[in-house]
Amino acid sequence: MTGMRRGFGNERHNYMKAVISFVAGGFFLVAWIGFAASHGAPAASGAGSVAGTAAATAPAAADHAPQTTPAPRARTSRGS
Amino acid sequence: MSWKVTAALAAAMAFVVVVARLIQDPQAGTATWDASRAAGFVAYLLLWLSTVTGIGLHLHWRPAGASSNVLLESHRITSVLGLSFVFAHVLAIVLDPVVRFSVLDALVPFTSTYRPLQVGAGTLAQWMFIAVLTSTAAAGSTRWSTWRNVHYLSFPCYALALLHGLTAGSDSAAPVALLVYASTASVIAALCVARLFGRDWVPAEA
Repeated sequence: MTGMRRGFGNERHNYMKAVISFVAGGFFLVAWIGFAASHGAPAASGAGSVAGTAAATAPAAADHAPQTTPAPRARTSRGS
Repeated sequence: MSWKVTAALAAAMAFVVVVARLIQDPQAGTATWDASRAAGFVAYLLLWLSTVTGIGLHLHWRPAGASSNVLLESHRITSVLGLSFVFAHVLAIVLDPVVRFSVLDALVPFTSTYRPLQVGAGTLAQWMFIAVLTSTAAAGSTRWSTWRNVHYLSFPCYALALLHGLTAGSDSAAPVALLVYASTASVIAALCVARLFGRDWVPAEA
């Protein structure tokens, strides 16, 4: 950025910035909803429970020791 | 403008994350975990955009004939916005009822008991990101060489964020995630080559 304005003073193109912010916020919401939806239907997979989460994330958590009983307070990884 | 938008967005995301934490299953709810994943992914993409536009500024790009100010302001807003999503990423994971991340885990590198190296990479990247933004915010009162030297942290910051996303996340094995990480990292690698050699590049035939 040699020769450019440094810092955050004298900002321009506020409309563009608002659009970028809106798109980023929207992308966050869409990703959040998408991740939530990827857990599957509660009746089918038990989503919302530790057992359901463990079943849904078995491939992602394959490097962890298998848990045969729910351990809701244990530090463990989760995935989609 | 950039900081105001970022503060407003961070406050809004903090609000929805806290509400999600309150209404989800307190034992095994997944809303905060999903929020953290989503925020982390968006933060990575914003960091990538910030790095791309930053290198573009160095290379004096004029995208589609636009003035350099467009690129500069894009660089500014993507950088500062990224911080708000890093904040949401950390807040959501700290509030998650299952993973049980402490504030200390989120702020001090390599203290996490869950994948300490991979999580520590993300924590280090977070502090580098904050250092770069802080130095830029204070650029008016610091020497240019100081600002530039701190700004060089952007490169290890991006690399550590990429490493964190690839190894600490639970989505890394997903084809879409791999595609995103591979394509974005390839662009950065190509731009780094252009940045290192582009300005002084002299064709053999010249």
